[in-house]
Amino acid sequence: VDWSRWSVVRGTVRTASGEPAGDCAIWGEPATLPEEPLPDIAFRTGQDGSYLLPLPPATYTIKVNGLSSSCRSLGGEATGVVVTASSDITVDIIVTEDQD
Amino acid sequence: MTIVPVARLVTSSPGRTGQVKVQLVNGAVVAIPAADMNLVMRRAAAEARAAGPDGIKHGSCGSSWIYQYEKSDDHPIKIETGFKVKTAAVAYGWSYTVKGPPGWGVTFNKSGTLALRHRWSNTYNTPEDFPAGTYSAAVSSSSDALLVNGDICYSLAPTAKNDLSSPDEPVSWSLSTSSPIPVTSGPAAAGSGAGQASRSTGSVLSGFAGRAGRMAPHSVIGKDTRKRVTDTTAYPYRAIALLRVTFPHGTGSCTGFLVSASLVATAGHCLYYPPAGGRATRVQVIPGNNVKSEPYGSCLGTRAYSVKGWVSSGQEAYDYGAVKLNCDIGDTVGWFGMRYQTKSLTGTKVTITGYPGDKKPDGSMWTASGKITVSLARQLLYKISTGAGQSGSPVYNRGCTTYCALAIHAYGTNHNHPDDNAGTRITLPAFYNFDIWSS
Repeated sequence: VDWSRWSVVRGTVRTASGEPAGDCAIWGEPATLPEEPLPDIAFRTGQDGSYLLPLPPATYTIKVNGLSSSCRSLGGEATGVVVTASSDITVDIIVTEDQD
Repeated sequence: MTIVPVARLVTSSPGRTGQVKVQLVNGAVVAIPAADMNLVMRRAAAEARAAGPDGIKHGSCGSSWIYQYEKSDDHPIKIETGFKVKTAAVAYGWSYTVKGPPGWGVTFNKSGTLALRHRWSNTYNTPEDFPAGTYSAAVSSSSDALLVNGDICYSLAPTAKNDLSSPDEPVSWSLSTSSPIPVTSGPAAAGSGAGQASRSTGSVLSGFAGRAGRMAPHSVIGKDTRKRVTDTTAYPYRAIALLRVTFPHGTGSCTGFLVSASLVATAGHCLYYPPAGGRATRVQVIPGNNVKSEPYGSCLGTRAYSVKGWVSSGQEAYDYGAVKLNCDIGDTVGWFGMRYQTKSLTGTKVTITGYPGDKKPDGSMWTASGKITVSLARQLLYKISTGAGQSGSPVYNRGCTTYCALAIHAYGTNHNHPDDNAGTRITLPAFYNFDIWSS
């Protein structure tokens, strides 16, 4: 793994009403084959909804999965996130409660 | 102009320019063509040993030598020995011993004719990889060359003592056990000789069911066959744990599995992840976690273990580690055994169980089975679906009294294996490390 080519995607995850979505799983789903091995680790958002997600160069859908305070599933995503070598970017994401 | 020796390899995978990075002994990091990497690192290893002990002895009728190195796969042990005589020789008899960590060593005995040659040498690579450690080699003083004039030229018994490294050489550090648990986010011869490797290769660590009573993602290949484990208090599921890992710049989510009363095996990157700040500072281990339910509570890691091959050079094939716990929860929930074998595992049916982040509800356990599609020396490849968060999951089947882990899940598809997910295989050195870390 050539870590020098990795970049960091950071941002904040919030609900549609603007509340921070804390302790949610967040990860990058590659739309193109990553140029570097991509470990199967997920990251978690902080209580303020902020997150940091290291990724190797590729195009991703950044996905979020969590639980609301009422234990309903929360989900959201940002598509077409292009990560290039050694270039950090910011992506904020809105999550909604599942209707199940 | 002066020559500054290379100290270590910084990156082993070539970048877009086809170069890898090395660090010099003066601290500078420079890029070199990937094609020259092995040449440069061999030279660096030779330079490092130039100041080593003895190795060669000069006498009145000639000289003899013995040297030790890592093999071309970076593991111990390669041995070079031989002699040079002033008068032509017609025959020789040669023996040496090499002793390393307890249980590891080599004995060598060989004799033959020389047809008036002045020089004989032999290179021996152990067929299996030896662990890192201090190795002492000694040519026997009875080793000799029979010279054409009838004299016998005896060796002056050269010796060598070296610290040999290995990608499987353990690296460990302390973890924080203070509370509360923070949830953080990021800041803004080959073989012409008759050498004989000696090692008793125990291949199985037993599993234990515990004393508890009955209580299209990049990693999804084809149809997602994962099924939710609803009763996470059944063995072996209760011996699988959700890991919440605090790095300096973020909190990761992984899977791990008990391999003794107080040791959890996982992927190396779940403990050491450079883009998140490097070493994990805190690891919370929750066996049998089921969404918001922690049926056995949780333990904290006191010490993290991985190996140089992952921590120092980021090699996918050495991506494994373990966490020592501040509790003996394995006595309650049980643990997995481990099995190592060198023969191919292609076609072997295995199961992978863990905590994928892409499955709802968050924090639920999922399992899927399938066959090993490619069996590499240090990795097993499979088309079994996994998801982010499943790093560290056991790749296992029945055996070892209960269940045997054969690999540790670590990667989805990538350029190295575009059609398969991958786990770090339990090799003999890894098996040996887990055995030591468990004790």
